[in-house]
Amino acid sequence: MSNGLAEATALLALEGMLLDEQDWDAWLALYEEDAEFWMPAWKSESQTTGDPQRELSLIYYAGRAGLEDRVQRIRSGKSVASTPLRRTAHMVGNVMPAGEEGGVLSVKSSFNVHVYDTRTKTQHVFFGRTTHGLVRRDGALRIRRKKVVLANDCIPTMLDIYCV
Amino acid sequence: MQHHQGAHADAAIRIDEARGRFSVSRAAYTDPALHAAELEEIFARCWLFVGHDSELPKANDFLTRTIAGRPVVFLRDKAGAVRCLLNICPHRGAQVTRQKRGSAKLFSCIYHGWAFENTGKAISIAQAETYHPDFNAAGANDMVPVPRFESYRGLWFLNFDANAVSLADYLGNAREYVDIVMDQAEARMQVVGEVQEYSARANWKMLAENSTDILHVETLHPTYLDLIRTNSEGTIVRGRVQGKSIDLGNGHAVVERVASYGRPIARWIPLWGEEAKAEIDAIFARLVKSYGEERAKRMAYNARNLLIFPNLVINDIMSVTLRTFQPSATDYMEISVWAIAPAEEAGKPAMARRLTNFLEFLGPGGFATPDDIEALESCQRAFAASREAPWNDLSKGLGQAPDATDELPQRVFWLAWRDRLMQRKAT
Repeated sequence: MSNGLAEATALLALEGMLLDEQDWDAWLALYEEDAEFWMPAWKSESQTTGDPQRELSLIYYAGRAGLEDRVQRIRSGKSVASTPLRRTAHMVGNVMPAGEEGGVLSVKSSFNVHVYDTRTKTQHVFFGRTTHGLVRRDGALRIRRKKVVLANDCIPTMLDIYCV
Repeated sequence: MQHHQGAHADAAIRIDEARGRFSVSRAAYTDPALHAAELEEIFARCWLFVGHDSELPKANDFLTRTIAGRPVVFLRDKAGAVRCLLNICPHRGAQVTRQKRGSAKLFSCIYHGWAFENTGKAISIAQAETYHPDFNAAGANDMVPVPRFESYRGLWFLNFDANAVSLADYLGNAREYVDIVMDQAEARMQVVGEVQEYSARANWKMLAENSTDILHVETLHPTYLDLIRTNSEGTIVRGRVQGKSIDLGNGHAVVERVASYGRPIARWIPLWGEEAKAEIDAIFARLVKSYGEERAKRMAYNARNLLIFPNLVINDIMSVTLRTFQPSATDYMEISVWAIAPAEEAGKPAMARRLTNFLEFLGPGGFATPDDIEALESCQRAFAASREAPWNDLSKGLGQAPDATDELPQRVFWLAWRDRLMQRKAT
């Protein structure tokens, strides 16, 4: 996958931007239909949960349909926690290749997501590390897996897919 | 001061029987003097949930927690006994362990190296030869256990009041509802994975109210209801909830009603597929065999939201959760949530269904909890107007036939709150 890193870096930056711009359809289109989205919980200071089928996660979806449900909730106007939506700024950096297996390119990165709540005029920074599993479809990279390790896991009020 | 607080608490609740009105002063969610009185009269005197014994599977396992502001170590000692020690060195007060969880036969204080067995017994004092020979007599340097520590069905509670009634007496009628949850397991219920932690900028009492409030479900959680109705292919029936809320005494209350969603034990929905139907039929048959048809139906088809006063919620809904919340400030609480499941589900599809059910609804990333928290925070923000608009209303169902959406559990909670705060005045 020549030049894969530069392409992956651009994809991760694009993902952050689409979330900040609340362009949900374009964001969903980055994901494969069978994409897994997993944010494990922390078991101790240094260890996260290891299996979303056996242990409680913070967020887990086995396919893009789960992400589509979340977008529907955000858009519905019927979730008071999502209306008005918080403003976010994603900073994605330290993008590094982490191996390739079976056509899936693993890429690690770090994130800071600044979240501003207009109601309370308060802000919070979610930060941590992400591993994306990327595949090539129709000439472009798409997301097959996203594992988010949220470093500050005592969560103020709420957490959603656009907060990481 | 104590007399003043008692009078204050008395004035916080206004009951107008003639007009069927039950009101709570909004000052009760914001007043620092009442908050201080709650810490003394409620949190230092009631039984408070610490953890479930399955969180300590092996001898020497320990977890550190903060309960009503106090750092504690919840542990299983080398002989297998579950204990709760105050996490403070008898010497100069450092936390004896600063780890969230671990396994240790001994604790050694970081500050001057005093060392303790995991029973709390002091075994080593730095430069012991420079102290009086009787310095360590009668365990004078042992770690201090919490004054009372008792369990019911694997749930461990502490009490900071050495003279408190027993846990069993305190739980009273609530035990039946703990039993009906714990009896669902063939082997035993255990915590799945780890505690989820989140916070809310809202007074702790609002989460006590919210946790047994069925009235808000249709209005506050439409995105969750839409999701499960879609996923259930129309098997979810809208409309009036069949069930009732019950005063269990001592401030405890429960809402028991017919569930409208899939329950891992044991109400099948089409979304789970035919294979799951056979599994769930088998679970139901086991319940019938063990408990008879009537109780089995109640266990399987009914949902329960139980509040054990002041701050433990057991929700036996689309999954089984334990929830506790710490009164950090008048307008801030820290919340911990656990999922519990039968040990026999480990590694089976039933567990995956249960975790999906949990994460869809509950926790800071679910489809419902964030909306609850936003509602509570919205109330707290609006309480700034309470001088001019001083009363919350909790009248629904007062003097009427029992209904699942009554505000009875909230009234039960507030009357116990008032009694606790006025108790000191009476004695």
